[in-house]
Amino acid sequence: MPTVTRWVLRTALIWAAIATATGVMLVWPGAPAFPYPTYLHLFTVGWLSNLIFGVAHWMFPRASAAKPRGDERMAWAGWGLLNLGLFIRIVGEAIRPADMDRCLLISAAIQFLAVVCWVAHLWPRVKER
Amino acid sequence: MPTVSMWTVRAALLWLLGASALGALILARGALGHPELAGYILVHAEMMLVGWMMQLALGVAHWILPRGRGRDGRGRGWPIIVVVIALNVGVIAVIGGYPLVGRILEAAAVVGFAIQGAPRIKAAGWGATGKEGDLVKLK
Repeated sequence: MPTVTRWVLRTALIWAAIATATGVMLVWPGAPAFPYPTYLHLFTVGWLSNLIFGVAHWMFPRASAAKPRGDERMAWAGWGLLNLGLFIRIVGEAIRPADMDRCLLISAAIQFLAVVCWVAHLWPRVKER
Repeated sequence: MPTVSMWTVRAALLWLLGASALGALILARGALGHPELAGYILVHAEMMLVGWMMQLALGVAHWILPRGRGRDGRGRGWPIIVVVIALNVGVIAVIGGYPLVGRILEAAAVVGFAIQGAPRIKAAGWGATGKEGDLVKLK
């Protein structure tokens, strides 16, 4: 398993633990309120998206003989940006700082850029034998 | 990766790009001064869950499930092409304001895929060959 995949999958597992713990908190008597959309995105972005990208980077057809997994810098960028964007979203929606709207704008831009990185990285490897 | 899987995964990646762009706009609606963008949350969810995740799963499953007998061991080509078209038209119909038609097409696509793919769910054999760049060698 390549290094990028190991880090992406470890991150996915951490988000899965955070997501399920948040699920407990949502129904715990007297626990502080937590926005449901943020909870859903802990699963879909933190857990599922990281898992999908990590496994795709590992298993998709090779890009070339010289660079079987393509330019791995794009994968690293996608991983960093996706998780940074999700973290900023949690800060924006759960902690609700004074400049929450700005936080969410930055998070939205970073997460979209992460997806662009991952799609650009994986696209050349989606090919026939 | 067979041709139909290639197109299915590419379509899934395009849905991911579109859904992410829409999701980003929805998330930034406060800063952009367009609170009405919240009305597109269900469209975003449909694109992500069916257009991206489900379609990716079907495309990869068609590629990687154990193969049976026949030309390439993945069964006849046309049923899976119909399944992929139905799924994509279904998503377009749902987000285009025809949810009943869209959901029927999506359900038909999944049932069609299950009927076509069920015989390949078995203990032995590989779908991807692991040779000639079809699947990166697993270590």
